[in-house]
Amino acid sequence: MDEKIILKSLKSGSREALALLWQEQSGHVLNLSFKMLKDRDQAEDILMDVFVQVPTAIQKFRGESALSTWLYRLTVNACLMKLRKEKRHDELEKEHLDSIVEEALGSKEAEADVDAELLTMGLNALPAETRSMLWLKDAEDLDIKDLTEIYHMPSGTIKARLSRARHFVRDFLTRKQKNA
Amino acid sequence: MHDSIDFSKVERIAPRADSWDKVCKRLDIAEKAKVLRFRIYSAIPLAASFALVAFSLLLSSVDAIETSAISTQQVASAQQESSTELYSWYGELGESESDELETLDNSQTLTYLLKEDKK
Repeated sequence: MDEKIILKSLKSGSREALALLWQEQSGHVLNLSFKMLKDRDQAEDILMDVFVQVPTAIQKFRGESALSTWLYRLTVNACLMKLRKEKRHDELEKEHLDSIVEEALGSKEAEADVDAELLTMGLNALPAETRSMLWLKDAEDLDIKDLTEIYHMPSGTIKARLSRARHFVRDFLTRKQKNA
Repeated sequence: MHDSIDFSKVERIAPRADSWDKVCKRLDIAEKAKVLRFRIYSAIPLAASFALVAFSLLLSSVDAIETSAISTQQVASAQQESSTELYSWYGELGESESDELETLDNSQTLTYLLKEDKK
């Protein structure tokens, strides 16, 4: 169904439209929240919270971005609020990556033969917001414009954080492979 | 993008089977609460107008009570005045040619006669 029609139906309170949105987006929303919170139950809670607030929040949505982008923004905000509420400051440390020096960064080849578990560990070592950013960009294939809307950050900042995050993950994988 | 990390091997999870039902239940509860809230809010002006009517009725009945209280006071004062007059007449009895019995009301005369009879 056309996204405009879904949006119109959602604004009029259609449960069918919400069910359709659930079918298309619930998996993406769940995986994003799971990547941010690293907890299956909490991720499910966030998924349900997001969809429960959709009928109310959609009234303020002007349709300037894709519905999926808007849902990701709701999800990221809900996860960050949960992390703040639980005082998981280590997950929120935004400047954590700035301490990484370029010389210590790993190579792109490091991930070529790496298993999924190690890659998840590398991803999980990042702060939550950067982790979600990298996930949305590289796993969900969102573009920089979408990310600027989700995180309310300039594209330059997004690009810089993505670059540092990738270097960090690759460096993590290199070190783990060397130690193995 | 060349620089991207390949996350295709990373396992993706799917929502639990009952998650959508839970969402629907929560939405139903929220809608019911919304209807209830609307009913409560619409009942407030109705209750306020009932209270206003009741209050004005109460005020008018209080006015009536006050009016009856005033008339009771007036009666008491009138009785007091008549008894003063009676005592005055009784004190002056025999001091003039006429006992001015005709100037007293019939009731006052009767009261006087009853008192005399008791003596």
